[in-house]
Amino acid sequence: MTLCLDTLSSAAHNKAFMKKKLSLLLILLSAGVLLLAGCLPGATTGFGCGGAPPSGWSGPVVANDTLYVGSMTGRLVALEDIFSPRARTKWQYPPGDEGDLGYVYGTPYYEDGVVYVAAYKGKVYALDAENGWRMWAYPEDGTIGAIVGGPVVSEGVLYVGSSDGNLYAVNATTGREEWPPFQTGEDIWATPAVHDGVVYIGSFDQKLYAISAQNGVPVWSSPFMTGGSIASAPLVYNDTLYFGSFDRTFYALNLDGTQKWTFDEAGNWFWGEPVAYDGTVIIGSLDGRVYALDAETGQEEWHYPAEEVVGPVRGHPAVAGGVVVFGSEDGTVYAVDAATGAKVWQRDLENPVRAPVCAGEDVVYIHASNQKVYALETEFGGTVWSFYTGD
Amino acid sequence: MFKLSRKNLIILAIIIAVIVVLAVVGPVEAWNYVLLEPLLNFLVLLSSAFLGSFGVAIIVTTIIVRLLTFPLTLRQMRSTKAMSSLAPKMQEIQKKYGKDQEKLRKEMAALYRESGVSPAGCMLPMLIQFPVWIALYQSIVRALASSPEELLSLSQHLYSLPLIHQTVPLEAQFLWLNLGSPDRFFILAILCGASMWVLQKMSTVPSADPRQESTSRMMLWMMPLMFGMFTLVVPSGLGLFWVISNVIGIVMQYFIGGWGTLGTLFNKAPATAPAPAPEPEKQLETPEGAAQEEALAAERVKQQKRLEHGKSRDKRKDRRGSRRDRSRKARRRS
Repeated sequence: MTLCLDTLSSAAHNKAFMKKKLSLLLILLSAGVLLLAGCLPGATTGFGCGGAPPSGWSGPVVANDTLYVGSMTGRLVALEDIFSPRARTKWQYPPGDEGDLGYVYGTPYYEDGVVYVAAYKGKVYALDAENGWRMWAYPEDGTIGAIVGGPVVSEGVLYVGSSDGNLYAVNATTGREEWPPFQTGEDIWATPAVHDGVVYIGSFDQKLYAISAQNGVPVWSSPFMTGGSIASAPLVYNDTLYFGSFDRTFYALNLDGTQKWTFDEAGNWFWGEPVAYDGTVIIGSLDGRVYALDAETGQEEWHYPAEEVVGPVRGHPAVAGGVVVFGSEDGTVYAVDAATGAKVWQRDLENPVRAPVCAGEDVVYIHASNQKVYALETEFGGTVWSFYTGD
Repeated sequence: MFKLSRKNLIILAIIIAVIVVLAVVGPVEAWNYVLLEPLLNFLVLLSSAFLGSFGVAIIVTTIIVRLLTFPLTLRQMRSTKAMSSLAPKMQEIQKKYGKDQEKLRKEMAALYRESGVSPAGCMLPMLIQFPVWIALYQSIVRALASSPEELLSLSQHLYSLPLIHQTVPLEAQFLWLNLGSPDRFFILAILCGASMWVLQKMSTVPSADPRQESTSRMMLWMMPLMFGMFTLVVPSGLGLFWVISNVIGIVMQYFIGGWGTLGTLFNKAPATAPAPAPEPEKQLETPEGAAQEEALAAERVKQQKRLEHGKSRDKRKDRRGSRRDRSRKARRRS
């Protein structure tokens, strides 16, 4: 490029020529700078280098008539009066101008009057569910690696995975380590699952681990190997472990770590957590489809849409009143019959939905990327309320 | 007037094809299908071949792209060199016809025609290379996918090859660098700026024209500083690409044109503008010498005739032009 500028400058005698050629060069340079600007962190240009800038995709969770969700401005927001058309803020943490948690990707976890939230900055917080006061943070000083999955609490112990490749077990009351972190080979972006004293967690080293909840020691002789990274939270249903992988395969394992069946008809990665309903396991894929598989045999019962595809389905669907509700990257929320896969309704929110759907009684809660939480009635998809969680 | 030569027909066909593709598919999708996704998937496959090392994949890809675009780079370098060798003649013409812009333009055009050089000879190679470089920048940053949103986006651009899906996400660590973040030690920014300066110094041809010399001096410092500053803020995978690209450019430039004006730094001899071509020596009066003299004289006559033909064609154009102006004025008056 500089050679060209040198050459053109030597033709400086011809003003008309110079004007034309230098204008073209300037246009090219400006286009280059704009495109390059798309490579800067946070860039959102259509021709930009990356995808959407980081913002988080926390799903909502409902407990005791209160909805908790990690906002895209780095706060945990508690909403009350969620069964009336006028939901309002109960509290938010951190309050006011006291900084923020950073992005929140994992869904908060509620247990016994405490709500737990994991932040991308590498900290886990335990907050009083009633007033949002901080009870403890782990680690108290410093951070662990970026946390993308959510925390899970079982038998008084909180489990969470981190991008430093470790699975942490922390006392849910005091915030102190229960046992030394269990190290996997790569980042952990999945949410753990706990069943019968065993913690199941997938890692970017393409393995699924089974770890004793008691002492952090592996339960299986060797972890289960897949062909791609695992970001999907496992589901335990009827003594079978279900999870998806970036190798575009959905796995069903016996609890001893042996393979039961696989489903590999998807066109792209499995990222979200599966959900079980009436003998069927339902999972969304980044190929723009939701699949319903027989939990015992892995036979496909239906997939939606039948012919085309919608946008990538990242978050896990929810089932309410026999209807499967899921959000898609194309900005639309779909509701399909859980038995047949026939469309019941769809709502265009005009903003990508990457967060998991939360099902309540006759209502589903959706956190869209426009920072709004929507409460939609399950029957027809009508809006009960919507609430902006941004600053 | 547009001539239907083979070259023009090919160019027209390419332009039409590009317009059709853009109209049918859309510019963003066309960009993704034609440039971004092939480069992106190639980078991921290379990483897999080099045991997951994305840094090595960037280096190898840069070398391959530079080698493939070498003919275009060579054309650019030759164009620059040829333009610089014309500088003394251009100065002469400027002195002679400086006040008459029209005459100056014609004489310059004739000079370019005779010498077969085009001042815009570097534009086409650059127009072709530019989108490739931009696509490569984007591929490097997309492939790294340092945030969950970026990884989600990456999933939509990967081909359906198991090896590709097994390799992602890529390992961002390379030497002291996290390829997905700017280099916090600034080493890459210094390397980028320094290597660009060396390349500029080697490839700049000194000129007798003070305006051109001043532009070259400005470029010598401005571009390295600019790219050095970019390297401070963009992901270091891009910075690595720029450094490797500059180093390859230095090697190419060395084999084509030697150390150039960089050599003067070590020899401490002032860089001089290219001297005007020397007068052909008078041959001794031998039969071979006489034949050579005749051939040279015939060549000079041919060149003179071409020049005169060009001048008389320009005169005829002027006469036609002024006749048209007169009849237009007459129509307006009536």
